Amino acid sequence: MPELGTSRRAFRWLLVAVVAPLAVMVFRQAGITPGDLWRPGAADRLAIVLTGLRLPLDDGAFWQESAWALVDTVAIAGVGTALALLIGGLLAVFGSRAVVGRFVAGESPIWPVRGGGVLVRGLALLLRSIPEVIIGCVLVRVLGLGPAAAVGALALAYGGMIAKVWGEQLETVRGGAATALAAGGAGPLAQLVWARLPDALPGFAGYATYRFECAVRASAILGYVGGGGLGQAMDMTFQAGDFGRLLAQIILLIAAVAVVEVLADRIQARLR
Amino acid sequence: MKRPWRSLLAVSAVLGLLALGAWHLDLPWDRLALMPLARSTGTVLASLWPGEVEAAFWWKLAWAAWETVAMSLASTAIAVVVAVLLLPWTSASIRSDGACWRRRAASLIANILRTTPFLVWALILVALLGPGATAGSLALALHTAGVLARLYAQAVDDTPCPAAGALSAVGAVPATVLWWALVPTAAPRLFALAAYRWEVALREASVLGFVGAGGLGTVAMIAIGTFDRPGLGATLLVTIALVAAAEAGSALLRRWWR
Repeated sequence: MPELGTSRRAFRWLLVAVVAPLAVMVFRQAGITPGDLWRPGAADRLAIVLTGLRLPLDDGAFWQESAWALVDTVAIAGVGTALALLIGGLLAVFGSRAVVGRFVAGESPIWPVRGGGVLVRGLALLLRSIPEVIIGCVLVRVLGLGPAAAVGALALAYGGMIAKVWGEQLETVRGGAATALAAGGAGPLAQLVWARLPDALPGFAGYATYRFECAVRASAILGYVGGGGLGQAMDMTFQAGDFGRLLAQIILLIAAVAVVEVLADRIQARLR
Repeated sequence: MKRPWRSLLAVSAVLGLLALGAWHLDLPWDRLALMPLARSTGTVLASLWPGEVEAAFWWKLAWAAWETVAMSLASTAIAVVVAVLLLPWTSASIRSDGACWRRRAASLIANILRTTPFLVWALILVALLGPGATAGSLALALHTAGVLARLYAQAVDDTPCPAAGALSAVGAVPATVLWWALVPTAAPRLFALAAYRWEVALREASVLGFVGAGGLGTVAMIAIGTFDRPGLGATLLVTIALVAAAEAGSALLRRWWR
């Protein structure tokens, strides 16, 4: 079919003609052009940074301070994740279609209950669609500078995400036990407690460890908006232009992230 | 659960550590009382309301939003190219003899790119290149390339591809097998993964400015520094809208491609 061939080719060329200039615009705006990458003075800057790059190995006080900041970061991630599990767990149970929707084995709940479920799911959607740094920005102004804002931001943002994933896990758990209970006349709550929750527990724990892993990474950036921990210390080092110390803190952060990742992988492998 | 005492021990250890952490952080519980908290949150949210923001500031925000989108698009595009180029060594579907160390090197590179948080990449690049979108885009590209290299290798390996066997059987070199059999067969999956990572990249690009790497975060950081609360509120609103739009757009794209 020659006609189809020509029109297809024409369409392809049209696509290229539209996409190519757009791509150039995008790359120019994103700052990735040869001129951006080889700016005049870039070599001088590189030299300044690299010559200033000396790990402060003999500065015991610095390492002690940074280690405590790292402890803060991990504690923020842990407490934030724990609160998120609490919030997310409640939202998951009261928003899950397996509890308040048509997924329930047996009869489906009355409409006010289903409407409440829709509301809870909407709240979870709202929480997880706001980036945690933005929640952190607002909370720093409510709770003051310090770890409380970072903990609150993690709790709210991750609460929304956990609500979604745990809720889905509750729905997709193999429903044999729940159906059996329903056949025996058990209500949705009994099905939840005695069938769905126990079956979903390993999946829940796996996702919780994954969230903790993300929280360690996120609590570093939450420090930049005033949430305490290693991030805040890194912000100050960077503004002081002390690249050797910044490198030391970066190494600490990467090491912590790597350790948490390995631990989380192990826990998840064991749960499987 | 063969040994219940063991899981009990693990759970109580985790709870104990959490209690220790909460005690260590010394959180201001007195400020968390419900009524004062609601009142102060209301006051802050009201002060963030962007009613008095000038038109020029909104234009600046539109420009920064476009920069954020451009950063996410450019970095995802670079990351896709890098991940595909790494495929001959990261994918297990292509067997090339005597390339063991290259394989190991490729997976090491991908792992380093992936496990280093994008924020740390941004910090390093801002220090090396100076503040601006260039550092942010490159940081995102590096991190996303690491993630996509892993996801793409898995996607290619999980997609059954008889054509690859046929091509290898007639003596095609690995690059040919990759480009003419494996990639076309897995294309829908690769595209879906790219769309998903683009969404994540946009989210990350919108906060890169907090470390000086361009995009909407830069405007937010300046607003924080100058105590410009309505300006900060406007920036946060635009960021939320952008992220929500990207989520909807990426979902649409994925449905359309399928």
